[in-house]
Amino acid sequence: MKRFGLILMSLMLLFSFALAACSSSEEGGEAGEGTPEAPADGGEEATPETPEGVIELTFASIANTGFGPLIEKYNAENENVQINFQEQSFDDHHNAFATALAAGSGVPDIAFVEIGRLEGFKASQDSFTNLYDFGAKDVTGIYLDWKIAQAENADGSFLFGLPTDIGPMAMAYRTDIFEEAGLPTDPNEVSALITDWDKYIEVGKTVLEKTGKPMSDSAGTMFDTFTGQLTELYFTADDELILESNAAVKEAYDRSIEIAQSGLSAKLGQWSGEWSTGMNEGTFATLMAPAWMMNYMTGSAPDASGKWNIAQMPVASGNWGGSFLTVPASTEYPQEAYDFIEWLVNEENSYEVFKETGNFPSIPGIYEKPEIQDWTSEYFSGAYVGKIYAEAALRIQPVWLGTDYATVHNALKDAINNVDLNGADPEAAWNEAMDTIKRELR
Amino acid sequence: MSMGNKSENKKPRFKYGSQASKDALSGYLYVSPFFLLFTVFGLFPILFNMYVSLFSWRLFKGEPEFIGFQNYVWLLTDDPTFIKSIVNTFSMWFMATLPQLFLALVIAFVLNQAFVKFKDMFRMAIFMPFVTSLVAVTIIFGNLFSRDYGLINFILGTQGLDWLNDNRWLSHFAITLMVNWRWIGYNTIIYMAGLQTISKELYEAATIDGASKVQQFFYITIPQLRPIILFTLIMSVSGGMQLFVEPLVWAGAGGGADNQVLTMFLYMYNTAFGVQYNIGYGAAIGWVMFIIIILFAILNWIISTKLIKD
Repeated sequence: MKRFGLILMSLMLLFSFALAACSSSEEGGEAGEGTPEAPADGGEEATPETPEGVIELTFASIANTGFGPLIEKYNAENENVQINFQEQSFDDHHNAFATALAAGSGVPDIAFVEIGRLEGFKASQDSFTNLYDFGAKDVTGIYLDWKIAQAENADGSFLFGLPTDIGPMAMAYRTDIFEEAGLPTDPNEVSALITDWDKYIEVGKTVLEKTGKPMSDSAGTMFDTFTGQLTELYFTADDELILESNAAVKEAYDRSIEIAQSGLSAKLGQWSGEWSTGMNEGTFATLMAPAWMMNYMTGSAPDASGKWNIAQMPVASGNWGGSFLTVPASTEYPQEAYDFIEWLVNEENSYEVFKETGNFPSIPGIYEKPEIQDWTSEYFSGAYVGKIYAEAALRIQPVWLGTDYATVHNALKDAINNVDLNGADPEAAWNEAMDTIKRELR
Repeated sequence: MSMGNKSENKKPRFKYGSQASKDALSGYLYVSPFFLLFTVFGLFPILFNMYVSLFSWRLFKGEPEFIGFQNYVWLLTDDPTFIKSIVNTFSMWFMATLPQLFLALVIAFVLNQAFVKFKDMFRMAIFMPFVTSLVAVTIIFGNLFSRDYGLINFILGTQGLDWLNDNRWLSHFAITLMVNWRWIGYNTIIYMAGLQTISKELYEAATIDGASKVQQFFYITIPQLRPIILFTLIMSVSGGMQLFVEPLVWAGAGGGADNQVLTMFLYMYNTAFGVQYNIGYGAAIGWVMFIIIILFAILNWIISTKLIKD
């Protein structure tokens, strides 16, 4: 018994040391982060590192947003609010943010969130600040309606974030392959030729026959495109699953399968090395490309410069990607954080960011500027890419994705890839996807 | 802390303040860092994982709901993906381990021969792959195995063969190659250390009796190395059952469109930290995995001790 007592005593002693160490380091950490603390009773002067009244806000973001110089400017102009800008790679940032949000500690005051990730956070509305409570109603008018709708909850009463950039989509095509197939290469003529997806498949068959090359990079990309054009998808605004009653989804599925099975897919995985080699060498004829894809193509497929051209997508426009700036609910200074992001993505600054990075802005007012109207690209055979993407952006229709969008969409896309790459039976793959979705949503 | 006379007589060495009690206290203090760290970073997460697995718990999806053992019931009775991941894991372990250990043993035996020159260089060269970054290795192997421009297809003359997608077992074989490239050297070094302990006289006697090198390998080296082989086997079970990075980097978090290279570990990761953030179900997968690995390790131990004895 006494031995036990000794063990217990030593353990307790150690624990108390450890606890003391933890708590003191926590205090030290907070002070180091510059959180202003209430002055002590005696009215002591604050330490020079944390001047009294200065609010420091942490802004966690992905890299290459073009915000750096603007934040420096803001910090210089505002003595009372200082922004601590932290950049990480895309995945690292989003994983770290999700972890912090789930754990409820280390959450930044302002967070950059991509649309795909934001959808998953929407069910956890309490974790975010409703920007409508801090004056966002006055500024949402300058942004595209559908972009604001993406950041709202189902009934539009809660705004999760203010928009940064968008990914309006157009159809890039290889002029050399079209020429070889005896097709027109001028964007207007191509638009006139490919007016809907049936026409697209028809043209694809001609291309395959004449050149032996597939029309698109993969059936999966086409499924993304088809579903991206729908205005009602897998869920209603009440998060009710309407997948099986929504005939348009099955139609998109069947059309993707047709592309897979008639040899119109190059069977290349997005972001794979072969994918960019394919863009470079011209192993497929068209690519459904959002505005930001231009940077990717010029970087990863430089030899194809002048061989691509770009036209509007058939049927409707679509959006792939784009992001928002959110203010998590745990911040102590929601008003200051909101004021900062309102400033950061206002028309003037969005214009600066666009000029620096080429990230397509969410503000239609900017589309009239010469930088967009006269923006041509040598890579795309001198096409007026600015005009084309601005027009595409204005045509996009809002759609309610639902918090489980990614679960459903991934299962369907797996089914299509399974048919496209592994030669599975389309009906069996569809049924398997339905089972998977039911299992994963239970 | 006062002590009664009675106990003082019984155990005088623990008298408070005595040298013996100080020694005992310092002993416990010396070992306590491990136990403290283990409690905080080992024991607590294990128990908390058990607790989490009893809930329908998805991050960012409202409050967790207690559902008892429902996650386990679903996992074992109504989840073909999990069954598939178990089959994949065992298939890849089986394909990888036997050639890996056998080749390592042969290489170690050859490198241990007196006629081999530059032994140190070979030893270092064979161990080199082990110090490389797993992710980098997988990316490079992914390129080598690529369908249209891959070096392996070029050398074998199998243009257009899709190693990842054409056939489930073929994709397992490709992963196996990545694993073995890295682990053969590791096992070789362990076997070489083991070979040093075998008495030279046994080989000399065998040579005088006219036994060939191959006979020496099978009748002296393998039986003498039994404990070392057992060690590497158990290590390979725990490593192979936790196969994760290679399929993740090569085929994505879902283990391919058909889940063809989805392993148990990858399935757990993708469930808990993929788009669903279903940590309740993920925790249950973790526990079932734990039980599977323990059972398999025991089975392995029984079989291999029997086999090697005979």
